[in-house]
Amino acid sequence: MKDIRLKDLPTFIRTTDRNDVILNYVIRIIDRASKASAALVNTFDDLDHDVLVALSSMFPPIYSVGPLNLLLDQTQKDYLASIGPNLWKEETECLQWLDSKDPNSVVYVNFGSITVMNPQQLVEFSWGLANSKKNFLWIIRPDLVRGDSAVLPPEFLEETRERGLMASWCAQEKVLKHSSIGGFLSHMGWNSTIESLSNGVPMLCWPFFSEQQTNCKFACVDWGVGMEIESDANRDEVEKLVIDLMDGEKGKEMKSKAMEWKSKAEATTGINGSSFMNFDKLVNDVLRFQKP
Amino acid sequence: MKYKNSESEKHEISSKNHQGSCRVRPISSSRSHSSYAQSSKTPPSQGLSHHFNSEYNHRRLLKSRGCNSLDVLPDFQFETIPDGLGDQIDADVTQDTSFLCDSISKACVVPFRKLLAKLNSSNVAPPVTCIVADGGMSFALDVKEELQIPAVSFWTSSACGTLAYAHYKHLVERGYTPLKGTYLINLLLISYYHESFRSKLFM
Repeated sequence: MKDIRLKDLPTFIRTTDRNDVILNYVIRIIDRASKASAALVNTFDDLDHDVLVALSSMFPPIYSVGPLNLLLDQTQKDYLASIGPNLWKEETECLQWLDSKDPNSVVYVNFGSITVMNPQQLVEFSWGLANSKKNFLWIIRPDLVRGDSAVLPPEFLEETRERGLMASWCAQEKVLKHSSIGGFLSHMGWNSTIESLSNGVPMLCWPFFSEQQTNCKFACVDWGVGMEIESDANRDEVEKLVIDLMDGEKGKEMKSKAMEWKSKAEATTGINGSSFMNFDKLVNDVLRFQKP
Repeated sequence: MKYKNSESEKHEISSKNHQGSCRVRPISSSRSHSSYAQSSKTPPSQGLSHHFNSEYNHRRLLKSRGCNSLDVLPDFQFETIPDGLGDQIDADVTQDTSFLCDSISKACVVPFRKLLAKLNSSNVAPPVTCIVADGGMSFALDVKEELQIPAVSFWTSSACGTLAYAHYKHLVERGYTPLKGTYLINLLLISYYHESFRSKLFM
């Protein structure tokens, strides 16, 4: 892996215990990976060519079939809509709220389904967003704040009433497609990262744990679509980066790069694109295997 | 294959080849379910598909989508196995990753094997001909060998993250992890500040 730093590696190595459960779990499942008939990954060849080549020496035949959020657009089975993409109940009114906003004017903020922060971090993010004067849609899960319910300062709510919307969960794939979204403040979970990139949305990266740190490094350095926020960032730093993302030169460069990836992602999941063909091959060559 | 016209093909395949498949869904986080749900809905997933979920997350899925939300899917049949973490009927939170990893490794293979045996002896459902399992649920690979059917691992992590995980073993072998006391902090600082050092550290 090119120019990878220790801080970019998945966080489970940050242990002093050789018997650490997750460290050993990861080693075990990787050890066994080659026993599978094939490996399926949610990425595409243009995005991850070198990584896929490196993985191919350790894994069974790899089928890159992503971005799945775009591959899904190739189907038209309405009844499948009841298979939901996540476990939290979605609030739908945020899409109507986004309809009322100008194109590329809203920062979407979602730290994913596992991230927890402390009350001080919540306050710093809230004032950073407020002071940026940008529109924002902020997904705040009931269990986002460690050991407590998420309580935002009343002054913050008053200050941002006209331009901020808080919801407990949303249909992210629809939000990221919405023309009003100009940037995504994300924890860099893989689904969020590839959904954002494949919809042409640049990111502010606040990785929490696991391979989110690795995704952050690739988004910022290799793919050119992200800027990192330090884990202990204060409100001034959050404000500056949000403004950079939405108005700055760096933000414009990242937007342009994200739009390039969007175009490539659409091509790879379209008819005769590599991900489209790989899914077909996976089904025909592997899953429909018949015992002799 | 033309994906958008797959409805008629689906029934043809289902009746001629009498195929069934089995998918072992991710059981950790909400968003891991996202890519899994997306792959399930992609066009070539034809024939009857049994979806195995943990009991806990299956309850959360029904709670978030409505209790009848999975009944309208003619191609899918949902089954559950326990995840070994006990009964958490009322909880609606993401499960602790560490407990879950430990539990998956120990508790899932026996109920999974029993469930497949039950399905394969059923007069109603076609036998299971392939398995698609979360890469983290490697117990499914044991069953693959026993039944001699193909099993595909679905890695819901990024490719770059998965490659980094694949280096964990080497990091242990070279003594980089587990780290000892302040060495951990020092290494992080050094790797962060010294470009020349950090680029060489983990090539």
